[in-house]
Amino acid sequence: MAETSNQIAERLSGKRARVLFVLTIVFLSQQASYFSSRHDAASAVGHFKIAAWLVLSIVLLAMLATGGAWLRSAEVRALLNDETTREHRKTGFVNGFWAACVTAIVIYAVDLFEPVSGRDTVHIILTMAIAVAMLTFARLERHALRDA
Amino acid sequence: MPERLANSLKDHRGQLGLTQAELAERVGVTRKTINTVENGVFTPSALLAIKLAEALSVPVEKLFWIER
Repeated sequence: MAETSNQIAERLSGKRARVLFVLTIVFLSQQASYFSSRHDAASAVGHFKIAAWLVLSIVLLAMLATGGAWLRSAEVRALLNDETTREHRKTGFVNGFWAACVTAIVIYAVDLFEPVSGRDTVHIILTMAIAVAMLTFARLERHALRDA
Repeated sequence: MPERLANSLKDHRGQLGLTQAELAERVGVTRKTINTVENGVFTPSALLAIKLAEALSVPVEKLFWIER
């Protein structure tokens, strides 16, 4: 028997929460790797790492903003972005905003003692904002799905 | 004491013999949303509250009320 749109959305919703969680961990690991070898920044490897970070950042932001499942029907995408999901996304963005603010304050304080470059500042703030937003969203989705 | 929106969604759904998935399909949301509303974890919008009331053939004020 063919799956209904609701069943497909239910299945994809669970998959999305798991994938976002794993992608965020990969994203954070990628940043740990980047900052542990900063002397590479001007090299080809450094440029590759920065490009990888930028691409993954954009993909994660797009997934968070749109809910993903871009190749699915409009009905399934609407179900994947129902009221609860929109609320979870909003909470994710709010937490991401606060994470960005706190990170900026911390970097400002650190910069008084040890200069932090503009590029690194942007990198760290964006990484923290995205990671916190994604983890919040994924956690809320997983929690809601687990209880359902 | 903080106010919260209580509901009798589960009771009315049970009276009609509907599962969470069936009710979700009727109002165009996922089962996750029905579950979080039933458990009081999520406060639905006025739009969803009215859709739920319509789907269960109950006046919205009998389905949702403010608990103080």
